[in-house]
Amino acid sequence: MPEQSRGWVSIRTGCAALLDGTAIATVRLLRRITYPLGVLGSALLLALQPRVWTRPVRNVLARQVLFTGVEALFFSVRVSVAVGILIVVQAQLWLSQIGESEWMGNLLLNVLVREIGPLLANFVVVVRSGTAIATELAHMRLEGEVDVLDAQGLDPMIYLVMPRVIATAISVFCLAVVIVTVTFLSGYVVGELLGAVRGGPAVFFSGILSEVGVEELYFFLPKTLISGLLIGAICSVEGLSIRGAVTEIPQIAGRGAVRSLTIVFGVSAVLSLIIYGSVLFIDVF
Amino acid sequence: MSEPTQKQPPILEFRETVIAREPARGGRLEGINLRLAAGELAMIRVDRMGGCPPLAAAAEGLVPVVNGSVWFQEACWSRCGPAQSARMRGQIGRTFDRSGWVSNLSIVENVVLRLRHHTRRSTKEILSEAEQLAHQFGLPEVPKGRSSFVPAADLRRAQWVRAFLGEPSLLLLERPMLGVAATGLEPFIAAVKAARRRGAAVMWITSDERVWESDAVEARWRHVVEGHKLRPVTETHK
Repeated sequence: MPEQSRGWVSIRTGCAALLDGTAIATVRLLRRITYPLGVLGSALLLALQPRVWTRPVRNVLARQVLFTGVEALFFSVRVSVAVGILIVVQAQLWLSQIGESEWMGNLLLNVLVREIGPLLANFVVVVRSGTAIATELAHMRLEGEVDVLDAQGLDPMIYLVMPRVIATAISVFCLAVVIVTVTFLSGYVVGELLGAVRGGPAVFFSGILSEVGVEELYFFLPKTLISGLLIGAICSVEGLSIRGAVTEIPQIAGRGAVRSLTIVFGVSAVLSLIIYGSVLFIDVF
Repeated sequence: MSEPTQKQPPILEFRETVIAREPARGGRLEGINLRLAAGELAMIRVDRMGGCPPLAAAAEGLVPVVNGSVWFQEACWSRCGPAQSARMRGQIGRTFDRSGWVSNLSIVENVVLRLRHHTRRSTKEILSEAEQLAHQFGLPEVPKGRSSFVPAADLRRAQWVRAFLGEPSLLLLERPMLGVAATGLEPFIAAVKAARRRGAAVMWITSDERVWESDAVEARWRHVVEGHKLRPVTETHK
């Protein structure tokens, strides 16, 4: 074969291999995204059916809300106090310096209620509960406990996954409310002690409350509920996907946490783009 | 004598079924033809060292069959959706060859789980029945701790309680006497007979010679797992 032809064959072969590899990688990536979405969709559809909420399923939901939400309260409060010091005091300090204290409420709402509060709540849940969900379900899968449940007519999707997905969403939402509230309170208290806050509590909180509107819900609700649902679905899927040995469990837990955090950031960014983008669109037109 | 039971609709039926076994156990299990009507018992002998083939799992439609079909109460498992399959499995009582417990629940929670999920019976009523069965099987009570803290023999008996609870239509017994003293055999056989009189079908898998040889176990069908085949041994007319 002439040298030139051999060259073209090599190029074509290389391109074909590259396309194959890209296609395979794309399919894998799409599967990693669509599979948890499919599980989430199934869980939500099941949750709408009263027949699935039997006593054992309700017990699982209650236990998961207790573990994921209630038992994370103290940790969330500690984190919120620190964030309150960091953000509220800084904001008050610098806005006072440039004489724009009237923007305090607006700034804190935008930063805390719309972004930081939901993000922190998602972090707390991923770190505390997401890894635990993945670990627990992986262990159950390896030990044959999922088969035992299935054999007794307890569909793992109904008994294991759905309550965890719902409980995670509820917990993220509630923890975000607590985080935002405690952040404001701690920020005010520390700011008052440092002399960074002026005008007293009435001025401080009324300035914030006066900026509260329905728009806050547009951010707060989806960033807590949607992210929470996805965390529950991703960690459940990761846990139940284990096929090998018990040594895989830490990897499963880590992978669940990383993927959940990636999704949390992604959802937050996309939602912000959509909502701010639509606001800009309305303003422009 | 067998004519009336032959005409009854079967509770469990394997039709020319071939099921896959774990790779370590090599290959498949073939030649599974079994028809159990109400009150009938099939005894299947397996090798002690080889463990249980996934016959009970196949009987519950939990493993896909390579060939043939498996039917429960005249419904083919492969044609049933998830919700229907779950409801059907709620009518089956089973003892598991391996652990068989959900570790984050106590034993008593494990035992009552199936009935609390599938029925509206009060927990108090279910517990009362469970305690009666526990006494019948020689347990002072249904163990309240988690599986890691309960002796193995008590765990096995607690599995019996779970399997018989709620008068299931089908009993799948995977080596139920494993680790249990010989004194436990008589009350267990009595419970199996009572279940059969109520109309339950029973598939009993055993590697225990004393069970296989026992005249008290009046098996309608006897099979032996030999290599890749399930071979019928004898048909009795009891």
